[in-house]
Amino acid sequence: MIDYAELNQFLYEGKAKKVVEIVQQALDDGIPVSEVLSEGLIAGMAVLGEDFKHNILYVPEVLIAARAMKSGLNALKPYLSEEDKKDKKGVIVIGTVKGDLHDIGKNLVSMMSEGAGYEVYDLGVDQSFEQYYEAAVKYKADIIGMSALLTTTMPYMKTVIDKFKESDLPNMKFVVGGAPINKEFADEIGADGYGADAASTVEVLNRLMAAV
Amino acid sequence: MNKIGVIGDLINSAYGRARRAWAAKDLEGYQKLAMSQTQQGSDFIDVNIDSTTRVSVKKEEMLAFLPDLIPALQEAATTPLCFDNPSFDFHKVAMEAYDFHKSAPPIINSIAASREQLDDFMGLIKQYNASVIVIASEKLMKDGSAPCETAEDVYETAKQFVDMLRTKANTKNNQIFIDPGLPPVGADTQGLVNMGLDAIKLMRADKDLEGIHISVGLSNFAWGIPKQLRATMERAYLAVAGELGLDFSISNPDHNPTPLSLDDSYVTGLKDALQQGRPMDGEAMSEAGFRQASAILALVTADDDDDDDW
Repeated sequence: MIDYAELNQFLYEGKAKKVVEIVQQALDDGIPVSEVLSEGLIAGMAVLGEDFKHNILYVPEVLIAARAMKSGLNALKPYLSEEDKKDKKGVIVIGTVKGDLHDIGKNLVSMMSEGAGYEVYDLGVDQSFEQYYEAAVKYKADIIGMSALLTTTMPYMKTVIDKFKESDLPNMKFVVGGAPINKEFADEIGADGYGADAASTVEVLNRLMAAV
Repeated sequence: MNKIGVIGDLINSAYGRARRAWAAKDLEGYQKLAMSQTQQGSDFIDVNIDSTTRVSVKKEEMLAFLPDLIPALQEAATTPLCFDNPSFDFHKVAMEAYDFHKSAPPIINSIAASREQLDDFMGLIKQYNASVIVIASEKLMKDGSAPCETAEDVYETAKQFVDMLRTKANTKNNQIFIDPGLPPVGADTQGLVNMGLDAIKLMRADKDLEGIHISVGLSNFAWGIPKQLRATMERAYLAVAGELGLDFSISNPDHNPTPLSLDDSYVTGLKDALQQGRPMDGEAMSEAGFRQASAILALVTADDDDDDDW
């Protein structure tokens, strides 16, 4: 028997070794991978995201929990069938825009989205349209996440969105965020979503994927 | 320990007071912020009227407001200003509006490897004999820029910029503020706090860099940790970095940004956590980084009495 409440709790507390142990035991006992994933890991991360959003959790706690989540996911991966893989939540390509080297917020979003069950390809910093586009094709991205810390680099987000519109991927979805970015700007440049912080970005991704 | 100068950062729309002043284009509101920060001992007043997650500001709007804002601030207090924006146009307008007879020369905050128009910045700094903050956490590359990965990168970048400023802008060492970078400590799993501290050591050991100032943006440091401990953690960092040669911070004067005593438990706790963040032989950075994050978490939650009924 697997105690999901216990697994959720270990995940919440960031106890990576315990998480991996329980996941492994469950798989050895023949419990379906998809069930362990959704009820054990993703459900646990959802609680975490909620508490983070409401300032019940602090940033280091979330990082440590996200890392435990990653260990759990890695333990699960070899057991995922082709069918399970098809079931995946969505593919996100993420990076900071050209000229912007600030990645702390982006890294948090990356970790939280992965924890929420997304397949995340983090391109790093200083990404041009060409790099986003290439990655979008290669990984069959559903959504592109762009981040900027500087008001001098944020206009490039619009450049990327416009160039995608002219490309053979005109329906690509975009979520943007960063210290100088707000809903008004996101709407103005034609982004599909605005991520105010790491936890709410995951909610925006969920909303966009539900609409696909 | 030497005094750590303060560049007061309350004129920034991330703070409610400044956001309200911006919304109403309320010059008196801004003047109050300049006066109160001066009374609290700020050596410079930072001026950041840019966009935040809560307010959208157009560049033209900012440029149009500066010629009203700057004289008003200088009238309220003669404390020199520190213009905080990544765009060259902003600084050009700011320099033109600044009364150099009323206050000491201002600081241009900031230049960095990733900035466009670096040559224009050099010309402007030279023309106005302005002081300048250099973000040294990103390095110049053949075709662009990249984040610094080691303390040596930061140190080399600092030297390159000091050299550039001397030759192209006639800047003296004591007009240069090097910012080695300071991430939020709670999210620092990549050893960046240590990188900045090590870079401070390297810079202070270099005779050629004698007289430069070393400054960090402090208000970001304690982001994501318990609110009641933010000021304490900021002051703990000032103690740790001040010991190595940091001599300025861009910070919130309400937080009393002075170093805690070196034997304060938060100072020793922070030092210990940062020590744990240094990878042991053959260890991956992320392992050490998460050990540091756990130690920081333990330090800032030690007094949380979650089980109290009150």
